[in-house]
Amino acid sequence: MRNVHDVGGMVGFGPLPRDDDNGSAFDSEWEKATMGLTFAAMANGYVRSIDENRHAKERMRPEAYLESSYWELWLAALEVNLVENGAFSEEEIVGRTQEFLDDPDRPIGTNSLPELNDGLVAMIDNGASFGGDPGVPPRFAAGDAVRVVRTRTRRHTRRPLYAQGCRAVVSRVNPPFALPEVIAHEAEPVFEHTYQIRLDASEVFGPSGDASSAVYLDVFESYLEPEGDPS
Amino acid sequence: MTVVNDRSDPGVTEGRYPAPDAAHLLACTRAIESLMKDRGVIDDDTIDVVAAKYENDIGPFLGAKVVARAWSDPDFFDRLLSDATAACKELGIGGMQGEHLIALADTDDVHHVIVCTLCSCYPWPVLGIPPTWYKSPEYRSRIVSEPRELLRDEFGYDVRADVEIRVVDTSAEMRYFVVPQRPAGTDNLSEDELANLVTRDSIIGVGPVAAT
Repeated sequence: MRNVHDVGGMVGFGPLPRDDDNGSAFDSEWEKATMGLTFAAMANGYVRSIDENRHAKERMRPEAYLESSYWELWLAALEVNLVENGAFSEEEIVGRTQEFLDDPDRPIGTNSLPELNDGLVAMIDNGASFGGDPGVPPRFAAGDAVRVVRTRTRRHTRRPLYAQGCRAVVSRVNPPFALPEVIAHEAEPVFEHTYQIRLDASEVFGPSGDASSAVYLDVFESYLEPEGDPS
Repeated sequence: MTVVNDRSDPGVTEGRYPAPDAAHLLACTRAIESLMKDRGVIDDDTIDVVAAKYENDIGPFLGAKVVARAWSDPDFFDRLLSDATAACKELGIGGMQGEHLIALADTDDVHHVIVCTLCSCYPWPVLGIPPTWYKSPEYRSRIVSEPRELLRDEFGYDVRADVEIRVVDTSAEMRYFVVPQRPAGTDNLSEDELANLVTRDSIIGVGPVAAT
């Protein structure tokens, strides 16, 4: 959906935040917990896909998204997924949170489930791919002239605004993957061929663009139409 | 096509994010962990086990090994460019968020830099968890429209005007990383010594590799 997370090309944000760049993966216990809890939630089916999780962040109000820190976005998305996928109610989460606020020493409970840990380590080591067979050959080939189709969908899309409507050239044919617009919202995935496309900076930003730079973007097949297509 | 969830509203984040303070965030993670323990779906060590992978086992030193091997072994360099996933696997490198890796080799005429404008996608198996700045709207926005200026202003990295900058937006499932050019004056260095020169920032593409 077209919301404020789609920042590519904007110029008003100011200097990069570099103060906490010390090589550490996490800066606090809650950040560390947020990652582990999200992975555990995925393993339990409480989060149905990474795209569903991304969309939960993208649904936040613009001011909430921009004012939340990075891991805070993860925690917000986890809460949305847990509640809407029926794992826990909002009352349970808010209520239990208040208990820990009122008494930080409240016991957290104990449970032994080593096979979950083994499964998560295996997932981290071996990966988990979202590929699948579209059942049709790729529509486009490297070198094809294409245009990025515009959208106003409220569903999860991986089609940044800066590229919409732009002419591009296919630079690579990549493997097929689950279409974000479907996997984030529906029970069954739909697989599409994906492509890397090259957009000249002058196409994206006009005459003021850097004449010797280009943006490369990975897109799903339905995001493209042949250039010159009278649609 | 069964629709499970077509919502586009903020859901339970409305009015609760950003949180008032870190104490609320900690209480929230404790709450979710304790709810999951009550249900028996998480282990006492799960959080620490997952964190340990990214604190200890996975980081930019892995990407540095890949680059150093590519510089030292032309056949490996070719394999890396034609199938980075398989080539990295030769070194025992790969996994989550790197199931489909692509290595972008810089040349005298082309310099690459990676970004995920929509969120923070990053080649975890070769670089670990991205730094805050990479995930920030500040970087994700400006690198697309002002790449040359951002590299100069933020990283002191002057890319010559006649070198094409390719900003590679990680918008689908492929995960990209840069193979920077080998600096001059390093012919006598071993592979390990070369790896010590290769920084995380050079594999993202925001800085060059220094010869010492």
